Amino acid sequence: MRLFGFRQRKQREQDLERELRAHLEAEADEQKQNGLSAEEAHYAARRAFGNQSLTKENVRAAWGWTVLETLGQDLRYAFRSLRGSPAFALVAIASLGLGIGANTAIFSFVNALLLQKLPVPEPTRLVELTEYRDGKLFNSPFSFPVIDQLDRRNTAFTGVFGRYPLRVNLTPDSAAELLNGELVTGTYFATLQVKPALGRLLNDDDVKAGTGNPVCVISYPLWQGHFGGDMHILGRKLMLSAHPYSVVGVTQKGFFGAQLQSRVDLQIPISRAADFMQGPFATMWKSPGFVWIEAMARLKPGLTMAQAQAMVDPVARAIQLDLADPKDRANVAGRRTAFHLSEGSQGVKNDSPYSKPVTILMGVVGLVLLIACANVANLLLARAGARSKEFAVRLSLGASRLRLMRQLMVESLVLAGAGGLLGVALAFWIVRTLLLYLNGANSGGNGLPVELDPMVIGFSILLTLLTAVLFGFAPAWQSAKPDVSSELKGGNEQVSGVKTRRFLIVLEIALSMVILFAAGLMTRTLGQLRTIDLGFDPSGVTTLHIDPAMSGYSQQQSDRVFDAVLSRLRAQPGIVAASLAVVAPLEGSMMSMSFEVPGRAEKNSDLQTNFNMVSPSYFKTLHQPILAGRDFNDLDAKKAPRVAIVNDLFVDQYMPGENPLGRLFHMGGGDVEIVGLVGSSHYQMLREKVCPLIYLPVKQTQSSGFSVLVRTRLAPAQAVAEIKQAVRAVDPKLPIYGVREFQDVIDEGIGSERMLTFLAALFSALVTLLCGMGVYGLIAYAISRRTREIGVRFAIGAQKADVAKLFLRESGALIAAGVLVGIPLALASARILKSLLYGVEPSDTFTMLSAIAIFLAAGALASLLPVRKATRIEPLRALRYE
Amino acid sequence: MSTSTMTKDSSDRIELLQGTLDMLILRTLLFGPAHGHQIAKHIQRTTEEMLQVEHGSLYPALHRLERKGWIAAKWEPAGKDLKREFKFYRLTAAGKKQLLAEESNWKKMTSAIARVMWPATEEEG
Repeated sequence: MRLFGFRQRKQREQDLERELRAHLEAEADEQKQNGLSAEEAHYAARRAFGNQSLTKENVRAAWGWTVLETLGQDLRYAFRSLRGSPAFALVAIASLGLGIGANTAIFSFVNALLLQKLPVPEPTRLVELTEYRDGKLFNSPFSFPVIDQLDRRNTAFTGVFGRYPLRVNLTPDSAAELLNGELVTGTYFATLQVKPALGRLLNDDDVKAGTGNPVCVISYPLWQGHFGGDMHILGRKLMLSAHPYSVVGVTQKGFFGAQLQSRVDLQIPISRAADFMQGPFATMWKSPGFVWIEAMARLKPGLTMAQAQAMVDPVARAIQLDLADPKDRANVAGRRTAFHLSEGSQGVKNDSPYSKPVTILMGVVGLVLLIACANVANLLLARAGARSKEFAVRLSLGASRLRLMRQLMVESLVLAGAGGLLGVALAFWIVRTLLLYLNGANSGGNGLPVELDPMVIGFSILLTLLTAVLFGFAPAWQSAKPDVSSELKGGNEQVSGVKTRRFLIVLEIALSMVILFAAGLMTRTLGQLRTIDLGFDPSGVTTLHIDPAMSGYSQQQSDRVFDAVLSRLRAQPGIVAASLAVVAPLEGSMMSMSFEVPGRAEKNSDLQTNFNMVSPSYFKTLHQPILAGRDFNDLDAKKAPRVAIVNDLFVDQYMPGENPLGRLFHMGGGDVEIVGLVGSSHYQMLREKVCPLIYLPVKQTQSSGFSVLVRTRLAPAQAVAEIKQAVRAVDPKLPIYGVREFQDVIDEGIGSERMLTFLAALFSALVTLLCGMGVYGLIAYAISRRTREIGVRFAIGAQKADVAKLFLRESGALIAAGVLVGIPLALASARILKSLLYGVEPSDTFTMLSAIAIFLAAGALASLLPVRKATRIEPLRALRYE
Repeated sequence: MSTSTMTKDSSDRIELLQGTLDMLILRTLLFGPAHGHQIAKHIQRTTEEMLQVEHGSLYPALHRLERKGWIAAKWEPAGKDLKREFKFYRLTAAGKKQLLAEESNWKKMTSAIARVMWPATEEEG
């Protein structure tokens, strides 16, 4: 088939004109030879020729139409026909736009979180390494020497590298700025095959040089954004957490570090760890006993993961043995250690809390689109009913069924295309709003990198075409049925069309039930999560983080900084209490340690408990009740006897029925006396079983970075301002991060549930509306078709209720069928939600009943509106109708 | 599609079988290139005006044959002192083949029809 032919067509038209003129002139010449005058000959020739324009028409038909020309015709016709019914077009385009937009938006999250790969050459050759002992995941980080040795001794990889992510305080001149940094081994860039945009990248020599010559590599966005693309950036000195570094290179555009969900601003040789973390890191970073580095490797060309795994296992064992302490060698030899390889094309794995909700949402929006398609198909069928005369005329004038179907499919394509455009525009907006919502809570400027990239746009185009077929085919097939004579004779019931429409509405309701039920379960989950008894009172508490090590402070200097900050805060009017904690509750972090209770059978290594290190008045700050004994005080310092406070669950579990005060336990090589008892509280997160907990005083432990918790009587914004001011007064360059109201911490902890609930509720409202529209349309159509019959019924004495019953029975049957089909579907689908639910079963009866009630109410409303109209039909007018 | 009709007497108009005009055009062009007017005149003259070729059918047929590649067209001057250009059609190789095929089909069909219509005349063979 020829696709193109516009230019030839014009040429051919001219040719045809010329050919026919030549013919007429030749004919006229002949007639003149027969003795006719010029004028008479001219007319005779034309008479002999016959209908010229008909001839031209037939010749054009012989040429055949090119695909594009017919498409152009169909498009023009489609636009004209849609302009003729703007209400229909608007509703159809809006519902498709919402469906496609929601899908595009959610898909862009799926794409960013689950589908994309690291922007490096052949990302699928990358593997992540984790250590397994005796078949169980032991500890994902590695020590530096293990990675170093593995890189040198293995035969399966082109390279093995390690990285450790951390925050870096960039102190140019005045204000502190926190960046995302990566400590990397010398093989990092070579293995990932990243190229520099400027200068050079890091290598083994930079790691070996260690303290001698501190260098770093910055990302392209940091170079462009922070340094304005300065071409003299190479060699420039940066103060990173109060240590001078010189920039040796800029990574290639698009590279963002070795983790898909994060954006790293700079890389630093791993041997410089001591600059950013307190403790004996100057030597510890290369100790075989210190495991802290995430490891990845690149498979040699041609090797499969299984082959590489087999090659790595013996090397891994040999390295472990070589590095083991001589005294411990027998023990190490006895362990079944394996370095497990797993897919690493997305970099170091980070199970985003949004992965699961986003997958579920993809399913939900898929359903939404299906429902939207069903709804538009429904509208198209109704429209086809109204246009059946037009189709009949066209069929009887000789249009083929295929031609008519193609015409209708083009109309559907135009609708879908407009819906697609609207959808992409909507998706831009939805993604931006969602990111604002999610990343706003995700403080630290390291939010989800979600974009509408070509992959997403491609997806939405595909989706648009798919929807056009989904909603367009059945109506086109139905409408193009050559049932010419009966239609022309005066119209009858399009029985099969109505059947399809009934089916579509049942389908819509059933699918909507799935969404509504899921939304109901999520709403109840959120309600349950919100009413959890935390064991303390978060309202009025503001939290923030300070890490003086980022400004190059020593341990003693840090202690003095915190003392100064606390006393300043406590002196402020409006501030009720201020305290420190290593683990701020509900932020997702935790610490645990082994301990031993004298008199109990378990030995030290058997008992493990969570613990926290807090300052005096921590419990006062959080309004966590001290049940017995005392709070910590300033005398609980380094030289003083070691003390602890425990919660009541600790007592229940380890000293049931006894008075814990004055009791001792062993921890960290010494005795600790219990001096206080507090109520149990949530520790790591909202969704957890509250557990035994030991609190230790901060002054008796080693730690540098703390969360500061402040209870105020001030408005949130004012509280934040005053707290910041107090910290700045102690040291204006001290980086403060994570300043939030405690309630926001809690909300963030359930951010994925909140997002899912909000969107599910939104989509429920949307699909319920669509279902309502479907029912309304069908009933209104039935009534308009049966106006005459209703008139007759009234005329022979039917009551309004009788007529209403006639149609309510139909809509009732539809809704009942939809709900009945929907219940098992909803129950089956809800099982996928199970891991996200809290305090509610995926088969919750109350939620199911509510969903059913909502549909019955919506259905009743949707059918009562047209039925009310039906009961007001005047018999006389109805009988005169048509 | 109707092609051409017999016009000796307008009351016995018989529609030519589909494709017949195509065959007549191809056969006409076997003598050499000709333009539309010549083709029409030739068919009329040889059938002693029995077949009047309707132009409403002739030109579509010519363009259809051209599209199928059985005939090719070229503009050339002709007529008195070559003052006028005509679109001359000539038979292509594919057209010759097609003509042979149609001819043999035609023969088969006419003899088949003849056997039905005049069985007696066939018996003596």
